[in-house]
Amino acid sequence: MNVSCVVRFHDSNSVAYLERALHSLHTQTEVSVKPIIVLQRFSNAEVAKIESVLSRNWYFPEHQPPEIINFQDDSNCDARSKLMNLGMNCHLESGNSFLGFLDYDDFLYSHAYATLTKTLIEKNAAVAFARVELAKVIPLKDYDFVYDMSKPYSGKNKLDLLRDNFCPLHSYLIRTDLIDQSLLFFRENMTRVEDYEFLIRLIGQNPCDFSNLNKFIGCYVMRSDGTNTTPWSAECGDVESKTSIWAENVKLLNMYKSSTEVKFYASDF
Amino acid sequence: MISKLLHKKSILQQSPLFDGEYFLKSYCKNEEIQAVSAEVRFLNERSLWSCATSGFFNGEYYTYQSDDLKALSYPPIIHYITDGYFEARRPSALIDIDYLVSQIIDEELPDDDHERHKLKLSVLDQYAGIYDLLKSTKKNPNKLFDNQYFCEINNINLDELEVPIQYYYRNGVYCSDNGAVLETTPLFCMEKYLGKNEDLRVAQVNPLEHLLTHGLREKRLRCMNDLIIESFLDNTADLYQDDRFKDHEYFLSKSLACGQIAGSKWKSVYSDNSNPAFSDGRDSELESHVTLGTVLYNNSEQELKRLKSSIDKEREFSEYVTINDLYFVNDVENTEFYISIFGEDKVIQSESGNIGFGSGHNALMEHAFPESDYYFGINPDGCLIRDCVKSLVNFSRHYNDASLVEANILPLNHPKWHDPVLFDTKWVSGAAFFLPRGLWADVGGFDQNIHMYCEDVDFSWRVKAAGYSLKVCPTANFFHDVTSRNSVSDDDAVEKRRKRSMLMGAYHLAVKWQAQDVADEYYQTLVNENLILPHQKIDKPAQLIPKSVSAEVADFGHGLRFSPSRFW
Repeated sequence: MNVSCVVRFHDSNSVAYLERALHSLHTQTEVSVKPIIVLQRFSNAEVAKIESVLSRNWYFPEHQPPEIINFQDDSNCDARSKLMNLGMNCHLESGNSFLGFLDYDDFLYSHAYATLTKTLIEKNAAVAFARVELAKVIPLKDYDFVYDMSKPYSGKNKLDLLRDNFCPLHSYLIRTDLIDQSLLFFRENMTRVEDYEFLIRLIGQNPCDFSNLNKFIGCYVMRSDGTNTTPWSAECGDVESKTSIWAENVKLLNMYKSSTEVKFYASDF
Repeated sequence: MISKLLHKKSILQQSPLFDGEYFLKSYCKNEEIQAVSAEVRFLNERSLWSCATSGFFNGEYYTYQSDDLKALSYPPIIHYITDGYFEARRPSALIDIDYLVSQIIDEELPDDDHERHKLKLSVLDQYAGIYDLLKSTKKNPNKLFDNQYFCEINNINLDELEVPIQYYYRNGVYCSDNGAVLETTPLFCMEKYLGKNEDLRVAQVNPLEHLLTHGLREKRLRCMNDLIIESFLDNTADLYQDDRFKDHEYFLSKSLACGQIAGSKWKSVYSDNSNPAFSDGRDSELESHVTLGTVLYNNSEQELKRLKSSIDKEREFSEYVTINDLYFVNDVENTEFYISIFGEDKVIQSESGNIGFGSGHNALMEHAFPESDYYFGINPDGCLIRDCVKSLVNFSRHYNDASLVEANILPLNHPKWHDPVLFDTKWVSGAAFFLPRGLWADVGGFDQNIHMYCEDVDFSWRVKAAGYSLKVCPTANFFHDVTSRNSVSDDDAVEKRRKRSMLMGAYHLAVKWQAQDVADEYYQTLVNENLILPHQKIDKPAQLIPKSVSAEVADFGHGLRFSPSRFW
């Protein structure tokens, strides 16, 4: 089974995290993975560094060659949604049937895609969900020290997911040959909760499967120094700006939600 | 009497330990200030002898240390200047003589009291007094006052100060511009401390002094649970079998306030700087020979091909490390299959059927040593991650090739606790273990009577008993995913077999290390869970570890984990 995985990467100083994410894709069992690395305005030297990383770490013959897409424009706006869209277009061109996402600083367990692809095929669902654990780490210069693991994401079905997002980006897999592909886009006017808005549109129209919620397929990593890629990350500036960006995007989300039709299928529960 | 007064007055006038201006401001009424000099006022009024006369000396603190000082008939400060300094006595809570000396000699002080005292005297003798020492060496006066940090965070020019703590004390502990409390260390927030202890702020108490004299002892630091996590201290205490680590003061003194990590927000010097364990030898061109050994049993083609290609890749990029790989076959009916993957010259088959994990590795180590410098035992259902072997070689060398080392397991490392900065751990997992030739020659290999499970714990304890250390190398990554076991299992039979093997191994371990009560518990669990028949006999180990050794090394206090856990 051929799986594409879109990995957004914007910080060339965090290559070690990208490598960890790539290792987790490289060691997926029973599937053939194509990593699509989408970069944000990297220089030629930075792109060459990523190519070198891939060359060193991506070599099992059962997997597909990786793709690197370097988004360039003259602005310095947050391009996170644009990166996802570029990645998804690449997936559609690849002919792969399964699409997943992974933030560069998180990782999957080796059985993640085998578990989800099996379910998608057997249940004829469009989106299959499993759970991820939360790893709390102290980021040291040389490595991350994991000091706690928890399972904070609750939620059981589509209804719960519509109420609140309990599914991190890497906790689900999409079977794109079963869905209307015009749904496969992230709204580029959103720079926060864009992934949730995408998910609501996707699940709203398609049968989902939540039968793997008793299985843990990966980790969401939270760093104790607060440098996570969340709306609260250090790069976003002062607290007041962060709050206002967040509030604006939540407003947009609620607006879109009110015009998003939702269908329910028996497999959604 | 007058000449004695003149003499003492002269001593005080010449010593920075008596800050006349500070003293008058602190203890005298305005109208009295100009009447006589500070020294005369001080010397004539016995009730003032217990005061703090500067940031360097506090009379009450000084005399509290010892009965002979309490009985002094003259000002304690005079005693300190003329004698006490040269006896390595401590003049104030803000001046930590042990910490100063350890910074000057750049190592920990000896544990033996006599040796420790002798060393301190020899260092202190090189300076005229405590002020001269602080000024000449520029060392930090105590664990919670960092000269450089103090100046940077409070926008003070370090070059303009002879001794920063004098500025701290003389100018009041609050910033003259905005009244904010002056911060002194990245390890601890004074403002937060006062925030949590309002009684101190109201009383205008010096927070640093209070923390050093009372706060640590009263566990007031525990209020700062975003800086220090109790479980970190508890785990460290357990790891080093020393309950004193649970205490903040002791923890600070052992770690010199920058070594081990006490919590998720506890700033370590290794947050921003590379640990020498990883940077030492990084550019070394010293050649070494490593044998990778794998014990095989019913392994799939995909997992073995992945293992092989990861080894080939590692070999391709290892300039000074020669990597050899060997495989021991426990399921001899599959030997031809294994040869087709690895090559005939690399495969060794058992002559006695399935002899188990430990015995398989022992056979491989016999082959590998003495030619190899190191042996790296790895599981067949895993694969090497970039630079794993090189990292292990450098790490082992950093610790003088006197450690049994566990590689860092991905995607998620083994949950057992290890020291985040010193890397000590209770035992080393057999999934990815690395040892130097000398250690193997001294300790030997695994206990051949333990078929599977707990043989790595037994081996680790024997290594430790022989005087070596047990460590984890977090930068040497080996991929070995066991996370699927944590999800709800569909196969109870597999789980049951694993549990039985685990308990049988644990039973053998407990008997061997003379923890009979623990062994009896394991036996009862086996019976209660129908894993063995009631009264079924289990073979006991032929040799027992002496109780004197077992008491020092073995730890059955954590169930089947044999170590405190960070998670799961």
